[in-house]
Amino acid sequence: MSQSIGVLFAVAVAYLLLLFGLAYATERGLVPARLVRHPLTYAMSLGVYATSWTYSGSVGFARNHGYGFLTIYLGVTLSCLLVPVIWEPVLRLCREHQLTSLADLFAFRFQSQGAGVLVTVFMLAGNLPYLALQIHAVTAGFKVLAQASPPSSIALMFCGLVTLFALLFGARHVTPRERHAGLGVAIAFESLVKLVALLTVAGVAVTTVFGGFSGLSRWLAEHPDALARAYGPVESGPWVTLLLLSFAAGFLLPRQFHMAFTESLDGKALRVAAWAFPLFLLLLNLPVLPLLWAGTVSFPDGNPDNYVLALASSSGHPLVAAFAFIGAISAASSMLIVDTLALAAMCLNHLVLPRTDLARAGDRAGDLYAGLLWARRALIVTVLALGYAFSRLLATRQGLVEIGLTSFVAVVQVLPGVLALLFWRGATRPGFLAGLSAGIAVWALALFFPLLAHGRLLPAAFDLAWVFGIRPGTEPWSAATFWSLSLNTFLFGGVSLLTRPTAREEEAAVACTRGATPGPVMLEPSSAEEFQARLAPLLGEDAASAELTQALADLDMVPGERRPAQLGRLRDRLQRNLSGLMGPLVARWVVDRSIRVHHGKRAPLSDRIRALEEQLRASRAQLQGAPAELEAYRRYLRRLLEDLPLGVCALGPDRDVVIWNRALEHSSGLSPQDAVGARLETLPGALAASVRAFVSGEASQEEAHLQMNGTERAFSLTRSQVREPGSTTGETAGVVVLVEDLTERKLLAAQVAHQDRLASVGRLAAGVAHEIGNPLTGIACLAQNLVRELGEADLRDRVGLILRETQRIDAIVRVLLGYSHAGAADGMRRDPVGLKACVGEAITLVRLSREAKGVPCENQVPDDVHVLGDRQRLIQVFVNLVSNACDASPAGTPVTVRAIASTQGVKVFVQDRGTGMDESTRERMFEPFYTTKPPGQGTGLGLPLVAAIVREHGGTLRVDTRPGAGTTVEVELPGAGEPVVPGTRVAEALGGARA
Amino acid sequence: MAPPPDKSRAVEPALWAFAVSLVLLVGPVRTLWAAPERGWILPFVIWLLIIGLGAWAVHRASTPP
Repeated sequence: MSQSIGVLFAVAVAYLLLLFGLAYATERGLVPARLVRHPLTYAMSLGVYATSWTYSGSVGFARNHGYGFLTIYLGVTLSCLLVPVIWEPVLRLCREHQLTSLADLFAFRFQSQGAGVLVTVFMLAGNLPYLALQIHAVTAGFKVLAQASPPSSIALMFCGLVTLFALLFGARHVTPRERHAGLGVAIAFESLVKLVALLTVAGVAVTTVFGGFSGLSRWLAEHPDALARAYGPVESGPWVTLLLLSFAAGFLLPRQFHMAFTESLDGKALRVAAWAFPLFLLLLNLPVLPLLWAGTVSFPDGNPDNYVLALASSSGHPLVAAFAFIGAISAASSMLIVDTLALAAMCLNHLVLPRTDLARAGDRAGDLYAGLLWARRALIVTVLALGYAFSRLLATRQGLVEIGLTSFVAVVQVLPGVLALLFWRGATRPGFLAGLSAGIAVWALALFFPLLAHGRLLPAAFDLAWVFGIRPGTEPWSAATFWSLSLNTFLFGGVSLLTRPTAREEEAAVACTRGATPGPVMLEPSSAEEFQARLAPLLGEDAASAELTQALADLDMVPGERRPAQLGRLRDRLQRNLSGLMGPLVARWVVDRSIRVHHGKRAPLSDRIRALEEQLRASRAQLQGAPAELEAYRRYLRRLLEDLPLGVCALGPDRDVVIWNRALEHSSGLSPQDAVGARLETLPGALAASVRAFVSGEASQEEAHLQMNGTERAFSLTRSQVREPGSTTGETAGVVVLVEDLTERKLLAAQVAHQDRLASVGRLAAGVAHEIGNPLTGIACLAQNLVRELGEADLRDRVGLILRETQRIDAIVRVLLGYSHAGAADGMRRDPVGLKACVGEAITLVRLSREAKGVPCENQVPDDVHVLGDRQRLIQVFVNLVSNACDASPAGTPVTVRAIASTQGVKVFVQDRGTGMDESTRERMFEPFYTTKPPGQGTGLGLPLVAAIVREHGGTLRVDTRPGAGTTVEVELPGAGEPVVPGTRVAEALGGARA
Repeated sequence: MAPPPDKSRAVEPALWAFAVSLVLLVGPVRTLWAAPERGWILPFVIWLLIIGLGAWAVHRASTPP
């Protein structure tokens, strides 16, 4: 059953439009992001590996090489086993350094534009036949299904549609920072279409030809030679060679590299693809042999490359034929699209941009991004045009597999380079170029020129395959692979061993093998803001601004950044981002030219130490023996410095901060991440300013008092010069400043001094009381005698006055004695005391002297509240408190005493509604001899005595007072039955009293 | 500063899987499954086994110790 060419073309166009729609919907966000970013979608997009060769050519390959056709996919499976060994490191490199193709990878590793150009030209030459093959396969599909030769314009129109798709969905973004989600989904969809189409055709063919799978089994039993022919090449064919070729092709073909690494999602997706991608290939190959056997039965003399479409056409189901044709279109179009994109990117970065005067182009074009995008689009059109032209020139006598394998042998030539790039730091540029050139030469002589000669594009004299022992009629791949790869590897290794890598190569080798951070450098620009002005002449104002903004955002950095190490990181990030735009070498040229390094100036010590530490960290796993122990000791010392409870700030010779430990972070509020690497002059904050002033001065030790967060804090600063290790001239390597926070210590010292002062006052009071007490007793006795003996009333009154004054002095002396004895709790009684009675007695005593004033005192203490203590001293406490409250209260306002008992103790509240105390009074109320009462009415020892007695009882004292709002004194005492530990609450009592 | 990841943990299972697969596909063991009397599906079963090995290797590499 034949189809008209017009219908087939309409089907092809409809399918490609569906693909356009799917890609467009994805780009517009209409396809769920979960599906777009699913690892299986990524794995299916790797199915671009399966081209027309797989879809149609595998059957022909199986006819000639039996199970040998599987090697093309088993090799890929083997390479997928090494995802953690090879694929992931390559992905890391591509991500870190924004490398978008194999040519970028080699140009970066060997720091050679020549390497990039050679790989680009070679990949282009090696893949043009492959592109042509796809176009041939499409026209062959038309021919098989229409049973007539299609017009030549069909292939041209097909190429036009594919080009349009590549332009619209493969070149939307100029930078690899953004994936082409639409492209990825469309290619994954194409893989699905190929798979379902092939399985459908196989199912239909087995049913129509054999009557089902049981019929196929019977047919195989009747034709044992069919299986024998299939298994024969496993032993005798180029099995190992093909495994090796497909192993390399699985990730090094330009389209594979593009989908696997440039359009990759992440490492997780790669690990899913490690099994999902080979599983897809297995399912795709499962129907190949049934299709071969069905085709052999149906078309004994037919071309097995056409069996898939011929069987679909002869099935009698037009829809099956159309679906099979769509499968063929999808196999060809996906390869054409992705391969073209990959080759165009390589050509742009390595053939076009290195020959472009960026400065002049920037001036003319103004917009670098648009210029690069249009150049990339032009190259896409050019590459596809070349493929089309090649397809027109190339003879069709070669099978699909023969042309495909020519490309595979080309690709395997870069395998030694990739392995060396990942695992051998000794590989050199001359070695790589020599090896690859030799491999290319053998490939060209053994495979490429004969292919062109057979296609009449070259004279027959160019067919020099015989040089390598390849005779006409024999398979050429084993010999071509052996000679090209052997010579390539031998020269690569040999020349690399004989030559030395340049400094840049060594740097790139380190980056490739273990990942490297930029080394310490000093840049000419002193701030991130200066970068833009320096990049603008080469990139244009807009691109310079956009790239700087992007790099700053990537590093979470601010435009005002001035730290040399951070500026070095920013420069490196800019270079990496530009690498994604224009290739690693052009990017390096742009950055080297615009953001220059001060080669004569040594990088700050902090940068050098940081770089050294990062190197040590990266190679820690490799250290053994003494170096490993030294490294462990270094980390121990480092940790010691970081955790020291004393602020340590080490400064390099340029006053860059080398160490800023945690204690200093706690004191200053400035983290080590912000401080280390910065110059001391740029650090914010009062403490940093104080350290700065201290380092600039002459003193080796000083004390600084700083206002920080509204409080005064005291720091002790001590410094010491650090001598350069090994220096005999006394050269210094910087300064180390020790910063000790004295604030807490000073506060404690003030408290101790206050206590000492109070103790001195107590001792003085005791001495005075003792010295005054004795003569006073004598004076009082004499005065009493005089009162009794004198007859004159006037004289008796005067002696009475002397007696009252001596009584008053006696009262003062007793208070002084009481105060001086307070704190000596050893002799204090500790009995349960009924608080209500105790307070009542105190109130009665106060009333005796305060009755005339008219201040009522209310005892609201519950009956059952008991405290543990000395009853007499507690009465003394409440007499003082109630007395003070009465003095402060106006007439008629009551003074109340309340109490609350709890498991923690008993709280007694003495409350008045009097004048209250102002701030200054509150601060001094516990000072001995401080009183607000008029002279002669107060000793200023009442409250200090109260505080001392409460302290003796293990209680606390708090005063809540405000001017005009009265005062409440809260006394907390241990309840009866509670154990009492004298002195345990002294500090609390003092603290409470101050509050 | 976090310690560098243990690369051997990720790499070793993959290398073991690769070695076993090479023995199956390239070594003399090949003659055990590449025989007409084994039927036409056995090579695909061997392939599936290798895919399973690969899945195990990447799973081991992804699982934290």
